[in-house]
Amino acid sequence: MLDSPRLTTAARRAAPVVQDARPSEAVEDPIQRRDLILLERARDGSLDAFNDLVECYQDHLFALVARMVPDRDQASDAVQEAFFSAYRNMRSFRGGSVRSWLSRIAINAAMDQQRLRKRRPSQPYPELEDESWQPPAGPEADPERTAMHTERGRVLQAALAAITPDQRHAIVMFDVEGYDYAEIAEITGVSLGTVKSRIHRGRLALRDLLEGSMGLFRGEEG
Amino acid sequence: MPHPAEHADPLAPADPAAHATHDTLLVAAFAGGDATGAELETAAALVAGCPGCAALHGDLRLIAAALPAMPTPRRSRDFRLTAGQAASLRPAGWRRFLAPFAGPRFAFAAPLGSGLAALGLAGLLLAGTGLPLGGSTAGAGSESGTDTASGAAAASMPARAAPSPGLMVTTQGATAAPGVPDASTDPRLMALPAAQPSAGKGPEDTAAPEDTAVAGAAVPGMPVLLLASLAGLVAGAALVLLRLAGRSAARTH
Repeated sequence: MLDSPRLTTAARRAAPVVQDARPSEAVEDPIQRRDLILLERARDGSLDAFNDLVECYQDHLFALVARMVPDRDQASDAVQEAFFSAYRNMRSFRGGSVRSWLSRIAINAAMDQQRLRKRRPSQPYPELEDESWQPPAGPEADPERTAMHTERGRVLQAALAAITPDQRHAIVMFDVEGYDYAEIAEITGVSLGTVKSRIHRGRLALRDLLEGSMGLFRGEEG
Repeated sequence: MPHPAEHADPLAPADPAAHATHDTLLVAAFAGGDATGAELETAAALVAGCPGCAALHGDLRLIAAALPAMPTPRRSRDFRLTAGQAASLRPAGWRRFLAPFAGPRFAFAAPLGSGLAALGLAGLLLAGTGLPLGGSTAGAGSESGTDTASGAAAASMPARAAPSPGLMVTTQGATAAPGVPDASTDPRLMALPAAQPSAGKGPEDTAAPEDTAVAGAAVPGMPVLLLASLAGLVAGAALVLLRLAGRSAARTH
C-alpha cells in the first residue's frame, strides 16, 4: 500500500502551523497530534481550527467520495455534508484517528448520496470527460507512459462507475483506501462474508468490463 | 517442467474446455487471498489446470494492483465553512441544551436509565401487589376481617407488618393508619364487617391507641419503597429520554 494515493496526498499536504503544543494525550504521530489539537480548539468554538482540519482533509475526502459517487456534483455535496456533519458532531468524537473519523463520516455521506441517487437518477458520470481527473505525473514520466497511465485510469474509473454501488463502495474502501474487511463490514453494516463477496464479484465485474482493455494493465508489467 | 494440469486435483473440474462451467468467484477469492481449505485446493487446481481460469486470476490481480494507483479526482470546490454556515450548524435553544446528551460522555445514560426504570417498575409492582417485605405476611391476615386475633396480632407486630399501601383496616376498626379513611365515615369501608369487640374479649384485647400509632408506623415501609420506585422510574425514564432526544436533535439538526 506504499503507492497508495493517500500517502502522496498526506505528503503533499502542508500542515497548518499550530502554536499550541499541549501534551493533551500521548500521541506519537505528529499529524494525529495536530488533528487532535485542532479538533479540541474547534470544540472550544474556533471555526478557524475546524477550517484548518477541513483544509487538511478536503482533498482526501473528495477523492474518496468521488470514487464512490461518480457524479462530481453529488460527490461535492456529499463532502460538504460530511464536513457539516463533522462540525455538528464534533463532541461525539470518541478519540482515535481524526482522519478515520472524517473518512467514515464521508463514506456514510457518500452512501446516503447513492441512496438518494437511486431515487432521483441524475446525468450519468459527466466527470469522465472532465479534465480535472488527472493522474499524478512526475517529471520523470515519459509521454507514452503517462498517456498509458492516463488511459488506464480513465477506463478503470469508467468501469468502476459501471458496477453496482455496493460493489464499488466495497472495492474503493478495500483496494483504494486500505480498510480491512472488518472495518468495511462495520461501516456498511453488512457481514464479513458479504463484504468479501462484494469485493470479489466487483472485481469480476470490473474484469468483464475491462476485458478489451486489459492490455493497458499488462503493458506496465512487461 | 511438468504441465500445470498434472498438478491439478483430480476431483476439480480442471478441463480447459469447460472453463465456462468453472466457479469464477472461487478464482476471484483465490486471487484475493481469501480461499481456504478445500476451496483453496479447488481454486489452485482450476488456476493450474485451466488457461481461462489462469488468465482470469492474473487479470484480477492486475486490476487489484491498479486500483490504488488510480488518478486522484481533484475537488472543484473549497469545503471550508463560512461563519454563517457554522452559526447555522451550531445547536441553538433546546438543541443546545440537548447537545451534550448526544455525546459519548453521556453514553452511560441509556443503560443506566433503563436499569433504573426497570428497578422502579419492579418496585412499583411489588408495592402495588402488597407482597410481603422482610418475610412478613401479617398484613394479609389483618385484611381477612374474620380473625380478630390475627388482626390484633397484626396490630401488635407493627415492625413486621406489610399492609397494602395507604390503607390498613382491621376488624377492630381502631388500627386504621393515621391519615387514611375512617371505617366509620368512609362509605366504602362501612360495608366491611362492623368493628365490634368480640365476645369474651376484654378491652385489653382490642388494639390500644399506642398500638394504633405503632401500626401506623409500619406503613412508611411501603411508601418508602413506593416513593423510591417512583423516583427510580422517573429518573430512569428521564435519562433515556434525554439521551434519545439528544441523539435525535443531533441527527435532525
